Amino acid sequence: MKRIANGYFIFLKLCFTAFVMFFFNLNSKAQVPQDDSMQTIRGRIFNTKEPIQPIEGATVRVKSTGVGISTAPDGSFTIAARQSDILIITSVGYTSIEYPVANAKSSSNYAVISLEDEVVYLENTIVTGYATQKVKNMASSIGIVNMDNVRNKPITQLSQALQGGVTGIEVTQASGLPGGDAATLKIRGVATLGSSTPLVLLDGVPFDINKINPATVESITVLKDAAAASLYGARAANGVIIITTKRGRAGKLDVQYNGYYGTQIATKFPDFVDAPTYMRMVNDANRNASGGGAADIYTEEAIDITEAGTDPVNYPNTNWTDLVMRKSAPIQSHSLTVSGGNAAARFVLNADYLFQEGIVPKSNFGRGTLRANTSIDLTRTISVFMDMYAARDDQKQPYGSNFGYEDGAKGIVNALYYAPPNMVSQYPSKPDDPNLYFGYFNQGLNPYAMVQVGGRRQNISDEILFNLRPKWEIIAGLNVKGQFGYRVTSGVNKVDQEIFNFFDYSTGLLRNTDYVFALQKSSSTNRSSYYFLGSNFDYNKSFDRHNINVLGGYSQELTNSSAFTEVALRSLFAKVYYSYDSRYLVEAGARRDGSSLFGKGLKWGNFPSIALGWNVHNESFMQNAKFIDQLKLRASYGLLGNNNISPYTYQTTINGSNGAESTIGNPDITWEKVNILNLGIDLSIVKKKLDITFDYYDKLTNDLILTVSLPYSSGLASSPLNYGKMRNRGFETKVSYNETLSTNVSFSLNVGYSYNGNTIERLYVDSLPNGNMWYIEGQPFAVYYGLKSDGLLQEKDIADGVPMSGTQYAGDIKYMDLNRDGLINDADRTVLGNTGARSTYFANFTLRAYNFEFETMFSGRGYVPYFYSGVVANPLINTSLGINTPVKEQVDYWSPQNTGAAYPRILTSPGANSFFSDYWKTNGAFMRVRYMQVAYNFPARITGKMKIGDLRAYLNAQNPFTLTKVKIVDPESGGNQFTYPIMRIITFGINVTF
Amino acid sequence: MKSIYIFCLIAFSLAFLQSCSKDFLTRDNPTATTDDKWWKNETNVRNALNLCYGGLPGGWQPDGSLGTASWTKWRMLYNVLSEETVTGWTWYQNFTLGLATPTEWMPDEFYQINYLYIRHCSRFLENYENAFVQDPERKKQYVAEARNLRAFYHYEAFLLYGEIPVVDKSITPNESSLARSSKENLVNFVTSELDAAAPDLPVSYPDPNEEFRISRAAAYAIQSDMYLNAGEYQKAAQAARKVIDLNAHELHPDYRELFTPAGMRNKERILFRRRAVYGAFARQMPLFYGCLPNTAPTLNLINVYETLQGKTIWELGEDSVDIYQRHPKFHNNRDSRLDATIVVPGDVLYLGYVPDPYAPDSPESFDKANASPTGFWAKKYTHESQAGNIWDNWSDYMIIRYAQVLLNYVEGLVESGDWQNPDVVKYLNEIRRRAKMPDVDITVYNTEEKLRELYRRERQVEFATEGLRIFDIRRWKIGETVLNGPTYGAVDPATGNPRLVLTKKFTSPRDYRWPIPQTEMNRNSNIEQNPGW
Repeated sequence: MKRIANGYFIFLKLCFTAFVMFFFNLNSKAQVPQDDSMQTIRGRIFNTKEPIQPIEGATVRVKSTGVGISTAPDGSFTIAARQSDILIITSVGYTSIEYPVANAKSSSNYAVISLEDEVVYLENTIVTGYATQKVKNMASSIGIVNMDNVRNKPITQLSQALQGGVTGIEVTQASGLPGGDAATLKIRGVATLGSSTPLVLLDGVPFDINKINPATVESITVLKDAAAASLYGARAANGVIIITTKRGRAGKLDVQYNGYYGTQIATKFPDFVDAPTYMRMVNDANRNASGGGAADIYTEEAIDITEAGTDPVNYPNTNWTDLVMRKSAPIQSHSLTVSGGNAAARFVLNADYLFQEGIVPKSNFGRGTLRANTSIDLTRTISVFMDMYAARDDQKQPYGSNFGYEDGAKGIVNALYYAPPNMVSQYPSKPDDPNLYFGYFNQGLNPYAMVQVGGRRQNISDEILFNLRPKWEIIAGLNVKGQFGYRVTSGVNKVDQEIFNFFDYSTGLLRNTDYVFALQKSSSTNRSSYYFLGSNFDYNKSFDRHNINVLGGYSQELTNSSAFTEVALRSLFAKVYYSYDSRYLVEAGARRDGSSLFGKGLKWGNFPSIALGWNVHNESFMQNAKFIDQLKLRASYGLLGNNNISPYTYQTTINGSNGAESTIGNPDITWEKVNILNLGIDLSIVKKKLDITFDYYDKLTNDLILTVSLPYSSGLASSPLNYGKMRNRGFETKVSYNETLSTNVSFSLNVGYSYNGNTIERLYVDSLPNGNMWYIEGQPFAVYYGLKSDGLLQEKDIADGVPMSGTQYAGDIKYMDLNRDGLINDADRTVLGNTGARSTYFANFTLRAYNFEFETMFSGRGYVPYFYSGVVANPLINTSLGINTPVKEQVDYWSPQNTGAAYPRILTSPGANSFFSDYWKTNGAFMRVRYMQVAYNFPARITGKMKIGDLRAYLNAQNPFTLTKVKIVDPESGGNQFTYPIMRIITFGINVTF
Repeated sequence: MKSIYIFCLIAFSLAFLQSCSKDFLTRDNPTATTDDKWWKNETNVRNALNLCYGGLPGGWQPDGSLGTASWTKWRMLYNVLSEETVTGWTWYQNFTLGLATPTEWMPDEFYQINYLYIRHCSRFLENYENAFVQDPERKKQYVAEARNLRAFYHYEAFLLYGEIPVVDKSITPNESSLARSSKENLVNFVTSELDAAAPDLPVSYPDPNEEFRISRAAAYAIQSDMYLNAGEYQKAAQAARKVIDLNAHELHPDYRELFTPAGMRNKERILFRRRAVYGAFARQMPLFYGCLPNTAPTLNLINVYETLQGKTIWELGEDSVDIYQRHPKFHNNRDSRLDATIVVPGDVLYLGYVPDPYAPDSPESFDKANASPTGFWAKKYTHESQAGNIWDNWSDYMIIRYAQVLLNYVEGLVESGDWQNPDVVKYLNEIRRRAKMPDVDITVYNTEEKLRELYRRERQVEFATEGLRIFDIRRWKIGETVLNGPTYGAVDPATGNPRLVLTKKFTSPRDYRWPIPQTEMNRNSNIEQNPGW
């Protein structure tokens, strides 16, 4: 914490201190000598609805004596009890609770107690956007994220928490960089050539999922099919994620501290060869490149001295990884929550601080957040939520881009590959010479110097959200809600590097004036503001066997980002849930969106949907099938939109000086339309212990936006066009088993499997090359496209005159001449595989036994090709500069003595061996244990002595194990020499309730 | 308490009713401007019109601020497409070696850029009307200029690709797959546009800063060339006659001076591109000056020049051919235009330098990088004053000069069967006299055949290295003869044989046209490739 010196964090610290003082204050009261005589305890019992309602007729009983009374219509009660007594409160439809009388001491023996709704089988509700619905009445496809993924896990970005628990969602983390380790989310495959990021709503306001403090999250719901997501119309095609935050409850002041401290190490980090091996490989490469004639760059003698290590100044053997990188980096998180309230108002106040250091020195990430959620009842029927949220991300990294490659910490990782091991990191200092001498090599490529004397970069980003939500229950069952959300995002970035000169150690002369670390001083800002204004109503009515729920509303939103880039959205929506006799279910929804992203006449679009459900288990003919607790069949169909296009695409703008068109718009551009068919079945058997859910979907994107290169004769270069078609088809299944063996032992197991197949059905052209990933009509979204290989060329192949790319030699990759024209060239390329995995799976297991808890989760993906690329494939690119140190796996290269090698012969420039081919392909499937946690709940007799409520301590391992065939790099992040590895994190943490 | 309900009622209804303004969903680009807001005043109209001029060809690199600087519009490089010069640049030379493919960069970029400027013109014509221009006559003139330029770009593409699609409006993405137009439609479009525009164009522009604009003479000159290349000779002659009758232009008295800064503002130029021969000296002159000649004249071209007596060297017999090949300017007895056009070994050039690749230790030795591969150098648009600053040359480049109109007229007459028209010899003589050449020997050139031979030679000599020859070859269908076989450079004194530079290969009819670019073929399903490509 002391690392953060700016005002914002001082403010946070003040808050923290205030909370702590508050807590000590409570404790000091508790230390007054006990008086255990009979006292009159008064109080009120409430439910947890908003606005809050008193519970009439609840039973309040003294545990020791069994004396009980019923609460009055206003929920009040008066009862006599001792300080040491415990009150038991029960009421039909609510979960009973035990209330220690001592808790009321601080409030003059007046107890405010909230009872939560009892979760009855199939009567539980889930958040579906504008309302909550009972599961039994739902016919659409919705996934609920297991909050165990979040709770007490070192989740640095909330997106990581979606891994496992919900089927149909693919979560991939591409980097472990502190502050840059967010995961990408794909719901049910890719349905667009643009961004496939789902819409994330935080309490109804679109938000960056990674800017949300995980500790404040109450629930995360994933809306997968058209019926569920149709209320979000034009933005819902990539799926919708609904996140709600925790709210306060009437009752005693509740103070909670959750914190962990841990250490991070890379799941995978390249193991480079040492200097003697490197020198021999460079010699071999030069010999191979010259056709055998080149003299060795390094003599045997030099290699021997290097090996012996007797002259580290002239014959160094530097292990850059050990020298530059940290073995491990600490991570810590502290979260303090205060909640409470009464009949008039409730609140939750949360202050949270995360500090994560990187394994690259001087890289770290800090995040501080503050959330205040307040609920105020103005009258018995009108309440207002007033929520405020502020967050700051602060990411620091070394400058890292001294050579124009990658920025920041990734640039340091990259330099580890580039710096040769036979270079000195830093020379010993000379007496009376203030200069520092670092090993100099090609433009100052010295990762140690980059960290020690290179520059720094810092990115700060702030989020402020104000969310005001009034609610008015006009008559029973009819609610009107309003919402005003206001969000401001601002960021500042800074780059700061001083000039550093490299001097020759022996002569003291400047090494190279051109490539010193240059002065870099720059800063930039970015900003965005957003408001949401809307209101909606919902009406609930049950009569006879009918149950109707109608909701509808209006909203308008305006984003103003960067330099006055505005995007406006105005929407009308309605949805009807109807069920008959809890047997037949109908959900019909529609949204009408008007968007400023489109031109005149094309701004408005309609997105209807319908879902039908049948609770077969409620049929009379099923009453004998006692083993079936639930059997529900679901079907839905609907239309969603994707408006993820750049603003002003409809506009052709011109050069203000000569009238030439500067950007070519397409006035006819409109949203991509996604039709989704979903068929599902929910089955519960074995006394409600085994739940099975299966969903099949068929998702067809029409009017796919393609940026089409137009004929020259148009005088236009390219223009976006609604033309393409893409289809995703797949299924998901989830099996849950819950078992309570005794009051003290229970476990649960969830297993999920998702399969998605994708086809591009129509493109403007037969194929659209995009580097090595092509879009081809009839093929899945982006396929790898390159040459096929058949091992390595051997002497015999050369003698046989097999087709080659130009002149190749034994030990080079043997490419296949697919078109049989005797040449190896681009015409021999073919599809080498799908870029996305078709199947993903997960399983989690939780065991609670007495005071212990064990939980684990693993997830993974099925076959997907992974291609080694860059220097991870061919090391020593450009050896004349000695660039790109091989890793140990790459020592197994072809030579006449090692014809069965895994790598082709080593060269100074890989030439034809660097062609994109399936020689570098491997199975990218992996299975990763995401977390394993053991926790211990301290028994009351210990916590009682400590004068605290609950105490839980745990040990958690994040990403502890991975099974994969991918070498050198992490299978999840993939990548190359620029990739910052994913972290394995071991944490110890506690949860304390005061 | 009642007041709270009322307050809430008001608040909720406000939320519903708030900003029912229709503009809420209109959020246009905050900084960039659009057609409906921009075409308002004359300054903008003039700027937009000047943009339309940007696609005119230059000699070498034009001033990029006046439009495209694309290499594909450098006319002095077109010489290498003919037998006149050779270059080390394969993307040009490939066409004469039979190695070009439809993916070649030259036809690709030209096609693209040309249509871009066609679009600029169309957009001008579609939008100018919204702007306020005080003088209605001037407004009409602007329109005429734009129509004229659009016709010119169609005509230029026709010369290179044949029947390209006529694009007479700014087409939308959805209608962009256009088929080729028929030859009749294309010729008709170009010539009728020019006819319509010409009356609104001034005969001359007194203001030197306005001289670059299209004049009435330019409109008819383009028209005559269009007709000529379309094989409508009578109409070609008529159009050329209109230029002559305007009496606005005349031949500049000094042929050599025409291509120097001193003669830049002459009465002969009809259509030119401003500031468009940057680097002419550097790209043509010997290595000695620090140049890197990109276009080197061939012996094949030099041999065409007559002697001062009006005889071809072939007419003089074997011995003379041998002498004139060894010493092209032997006794200064050749057409003066040779000296104005080509530098040969032994010439005393700027600053007294005598280039000779065969001389011992010559700076021009053939094995030097970038040396002239023929041992000759092109001279037009270079001047002694540039020898110290070889790149900086912002002279104008003449696209059409009066001599071309005269020769168009002659060709139109001869080819339409009117070879006995006295104007044929009259205007040939006018051109020959300016070059200090004797009048046409009417005892020799007294048939249609002979006159054809003469006007063709006259045209080649008059416009040598100015980039027009390739269009003449295509029009006269002589590619099989002149673009097939060996191309020679200067005679090696040691062997007495001319230096063989390269061997050209011409495939008929393929090489009479450039291919439609492969990119266009891929993007446009309605277009057909030229035969043979």
